[in-house]
Amino acid sequence: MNKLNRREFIKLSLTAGSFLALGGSSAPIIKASGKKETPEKLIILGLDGMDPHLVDVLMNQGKLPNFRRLQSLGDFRPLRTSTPPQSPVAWSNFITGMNPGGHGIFDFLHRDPERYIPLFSAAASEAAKSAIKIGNLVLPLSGGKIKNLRKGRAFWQILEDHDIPATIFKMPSNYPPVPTKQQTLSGMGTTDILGNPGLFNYYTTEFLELKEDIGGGRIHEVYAIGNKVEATLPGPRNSFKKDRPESWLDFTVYLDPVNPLAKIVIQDEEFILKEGEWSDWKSVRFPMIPTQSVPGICRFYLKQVRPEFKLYISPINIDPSAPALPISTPPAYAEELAKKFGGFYTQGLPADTKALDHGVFDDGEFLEQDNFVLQERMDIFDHELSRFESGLLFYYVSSTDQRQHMFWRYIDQEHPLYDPKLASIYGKTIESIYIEMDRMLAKTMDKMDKNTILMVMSDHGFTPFRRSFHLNSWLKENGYLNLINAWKQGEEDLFMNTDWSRTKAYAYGINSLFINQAGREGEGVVRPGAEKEALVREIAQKLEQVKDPQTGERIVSRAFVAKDIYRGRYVEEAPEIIVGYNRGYRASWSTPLGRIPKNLVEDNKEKWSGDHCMDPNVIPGILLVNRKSKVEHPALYDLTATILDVFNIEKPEEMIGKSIF
Amino acid sequence: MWIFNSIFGKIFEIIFIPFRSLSPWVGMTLISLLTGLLMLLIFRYTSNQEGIRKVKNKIKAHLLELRLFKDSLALSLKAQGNIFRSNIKYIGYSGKPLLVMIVPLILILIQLNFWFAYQSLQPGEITILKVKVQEGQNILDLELKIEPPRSLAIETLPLRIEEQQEINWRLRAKEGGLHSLVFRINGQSFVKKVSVAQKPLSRISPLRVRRNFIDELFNPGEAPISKDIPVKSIEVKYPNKNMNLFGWHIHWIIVYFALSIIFGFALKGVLKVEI
Amino acid sequence: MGKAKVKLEKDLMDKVKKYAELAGYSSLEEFVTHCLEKEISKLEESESEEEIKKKLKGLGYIS
Repeated sequence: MNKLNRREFIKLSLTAGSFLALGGSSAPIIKASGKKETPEKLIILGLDGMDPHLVDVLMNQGKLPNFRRLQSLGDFRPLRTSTPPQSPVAWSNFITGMNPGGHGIFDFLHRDPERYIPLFSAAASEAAKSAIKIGNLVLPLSGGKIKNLRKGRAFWQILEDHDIPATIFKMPSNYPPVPTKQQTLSGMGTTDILGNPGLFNYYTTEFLELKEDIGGGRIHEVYAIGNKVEATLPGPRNSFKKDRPESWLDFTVYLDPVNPLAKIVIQDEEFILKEGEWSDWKSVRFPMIPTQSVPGICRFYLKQVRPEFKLYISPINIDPSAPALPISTPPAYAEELAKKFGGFYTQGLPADTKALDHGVFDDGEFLEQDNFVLQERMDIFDHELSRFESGLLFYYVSSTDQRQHMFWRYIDQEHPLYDPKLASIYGKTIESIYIEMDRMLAKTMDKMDKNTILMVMSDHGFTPFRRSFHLNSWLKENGYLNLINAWKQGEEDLFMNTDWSRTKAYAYGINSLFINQAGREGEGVVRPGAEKEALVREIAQKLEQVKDPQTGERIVSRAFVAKDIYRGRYVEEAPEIIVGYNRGYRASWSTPLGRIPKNLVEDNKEKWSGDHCMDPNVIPGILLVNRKSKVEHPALYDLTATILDVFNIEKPEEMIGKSIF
Repeated sequence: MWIFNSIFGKIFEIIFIPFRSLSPWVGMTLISLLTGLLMLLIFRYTSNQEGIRKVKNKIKAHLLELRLFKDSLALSLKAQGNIFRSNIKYIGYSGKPLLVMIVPLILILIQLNFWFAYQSLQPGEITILKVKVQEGQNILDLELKIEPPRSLAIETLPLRIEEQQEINWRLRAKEGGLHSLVFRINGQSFVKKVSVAQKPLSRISPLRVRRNFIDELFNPGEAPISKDIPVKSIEVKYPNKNMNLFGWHIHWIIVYFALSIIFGFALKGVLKVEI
Repeated sequence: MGKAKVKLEKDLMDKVKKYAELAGYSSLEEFVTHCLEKEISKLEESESEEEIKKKLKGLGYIS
C-alpha cells in the first residue's frame, strides 16, 4: 500500500491551517507586476561571451544569416565591456547602468581584508542570528539568509516603478534575485544546494590519482561486490546540528552480471540506465531533523559498467518545483516553470567545465551535458517568447561562453593544448554554438513586429588563454611581497606563508591587486595617502612593462588604477589596481587563491583555453540592434540607459551611460 | 480467492463507472458516503445502542456536575473520576462494532488503493518492470521472453539481480490504453496488464502475484499466476497519485477517512444511530 | 573541571575589573568567560578557510 510520508502529513496539517486562516479561500495568488500595455516592446538576447570578431568572420562566411539580417535593419558594433571584463562585473554594469564603483562588484572574488581570505563577491550567506541549542540540536529562531552583495538598483526595478512589465531570465549577478514583482529567475552565481558553484560527484572502482576533493567535484572510490555498489551522495551541511555535519544519502547500484546496465536506487527513485546513458532529473531530499529536509534535483550519467564502474552525478541543483533557496521572483515563477518543463538546471553556470578539466568527462561527454543545458534554455525561451506581449524580455544563454572557454584550444593552433586530430572533430564546436544562436535569433525575429526593438548583446568577447602569469610571484620578485619561509615558496595558498609585516601588495581574484593598507588590512603596513598613492602608481607602471621572457610580448597591456576609472559610492572598496592582461595572457590558476609559485610565466595546460579576464580593450562584446546607434562606441552601461529611454523613463542620476538612440 | 476478488472488484467497478472521467474527488466523495452509511449500519446492529445512550448521558451529567461544583475540590475530583470511568465504558461499547467493521474496511481499503493510489503511465513515460523469480531458479539461465505490444517498448536488456531473484527491464509507454505484456517461459505464457493514459479514476494494478492466499488478498487486481510457472510476481512501477486540494497533495486515505467520518456524523441523526 | 591561569597585563586587568563591575558581572571570571565565549562563537560561525577554498575552486576560473 502506498505509504503516507511525513511530508504529506505536514502538508495536510498546513492545508487545514491555511484553509481555516483564509476562511476557505484558495491559496494566495501572487500578483504579477505591471501589466501596462507598452507601445514599444523590447527583447534583449544576452549571449554570454559572444565575440565581435568571430561574429564578423562567420557573418562574412554567410553562416549567420539572421545576424546579418538584424545588422541590415540597424547596427552591429563592438560593445565596450567592464573593467575588469569578468561576467559578474560586466553584467552588473548592465544591470545598474553604473561601473563597479557604483555597484561594488569588482571581480569574481573579493577578500576579507581583516583575515586575508578570498570570498565570492556576488553573494554571502548569513547564519541565523539566534538559535536554541538542545544537546546536539540547534534550532534556529530566525532563518539564515543569503544576501546579494551587488549594490544599486536593477533596471527592471526601475521599470517596475513605472509599471512596465519585464521578464528577466537567468540574468547573471542576480542571486538571490533582488526583490521585485517582475518575473525573474536567478542566473550565474546561483549555487547548488551545497552552496557551491556546482559540485559533481564521481564514483568509480578505478584507482585514480585524483584526491577525494578536487575543485568542483568529489571523487568516491567504490567497490562492486556481488554486482552491487553501495555509495553515498553528500548533501548540504546540517545547520540543525552542532558543528554542522555534512548530510548524505545512501544509494545502491545494481549491475547486471553480463549486460552493460545498472539500476540505481536512491530514496523513492529507482531507474535503469544503459552504459553511456543519462537519467532525466531525479529528486532527492536530504533529511536534517524529523520535520525538515532539503530537496534537490540531479542527473545521473552511467559512464561505464565494466571493466571499471564509473558513475557521474551532476551537482545537486536547487529544485525549481520546491526551491530550498530563493531563485525566482515571484517565488512561484520557478515553480510554474517546473510544472511546465519538469526539472531544469537552476545552478548558475551548469556546463560542467570542472568535470571536463579533471578528465571525468571527455569532450563529447561535456558537449552532451551542455546540450542538455542549451535544450532546456531553448524550450523555456520558446515558451517565454510565445507569451511575450508587452514590456521587456531579457533572455540569457551561457553555452556561448562556456564552450568558448573549453574549446578555444581547437581553433587556436598556438595553444599549448592544440591537437590537430581532436581539432578535426571539435574544431567547429564554437562555430556551431554561434550558428545555434543564429537560429535562436531567427525565432525571435519571427516574433518581431514594427514596435519591437530587438537587441543581441554580449558582456565581453573572447581571446586565447595560452600563457599564465603568476602575479603574486611577480610581486614577490619585485620586493612588494615577502615570505616567512623562502624554502616553502609555492607550497601554500591563501598567502599562508606571507610575512605581512614586510608585504606591500598582494593579488586575490583574477584581475585584482590590493595594497596591504594600514588600518584596513589585518596587518597592513602601507599608510593611506601619499605613500599609498605613490606605491600604486609605481606598481601599475612596472606591471605594464613586464615582458614574457619566452616571447618578448608584453603580459599586461594596461594596469588600471581604480580611482582613475571608477565612479560611485563604492570606489573605496575597489582593489587598488585592475590588471588588464594582453591578448593570450591571463592571471595564472594559482593567482586567484593567493598561491606564490617559484616561476613567473608558464603555459596554460588546462582545457579551459579561451578566456576574457584581460584588458577590456582587447575583448569587447557585441551589440546588434534593429535601430541605428547614435553612440559611436556604446558600452554596457549605455544599454541600461537605452532600456529606460525606450520606455520614456528618465535616467536616475547615478547611471553613467547614455541612450544609444 | 480470485473468484471472490473478481466479484468484489466488479462491485467497485460498477459503483465507479459513471464517475471515471470526472475528478477523482467525485468518486471519492461517493465512496466515502457509502462507507459512512455502511459503518453507521454496522454500528447500529452490532453495538449496544441503549448502553451507549446511557453512558453518554452520564458523561453529560458529570460534565454539568463539574461546572456546578467547580468550587468544591472534592466534588470536582469525583465528577472527573466518573467522567473517566464512563469514557472507558463508552470505548468498551464501541469496541465490538469497531472489530466488526475492521474486516470489511480492510477489504474496501485494498480495493480503493487501486483506484486512488496510482497514476497510469503517460505516453512517453518510462518505468521499471520487475519479475521476481521463485527461489532456487537460476535467473541467469532463465529463458524468459517478453512480447510487448506496439504501444509499449522494452528499452533494455534484462538486468538481473541475483541477490533479490529479480529481473528488471526499462519499460516505455508509447500509446494510451490498457495493454497486455506477454511473457513466455518454458513454453508457457502469462500476461501483465499495463495502464497507459487511462481516465482520471481508473483501477491500476501494479502487481500480479502467484497463487497464495495472503498475496492474492492484498493484490486482487489481476488473476494469480499459475503455480506451474517459476515466477513469484510481476510488477510495473506506477507513479503515486495524491488527492489535489487547492494545490495541496493529500494522501487519498486521509481524505477517505475524513470524508467517511464527516458523512457518518452527518447522517447518524437521519438513521437514528447513537455513536 | 580543570582550571588554567591566564596572565593579563596590569593595564588591561584594571580595565577588565572596571568594566566587569560597570556591566554588572558578578565576578571577573564570569566577565572574561563571557567575552571569550562570544569571540569564539563568532569564529565558529564563520566558514573555515578550507571550506571557502573548496567552494571557490568550484568556479571555472580558479583551480
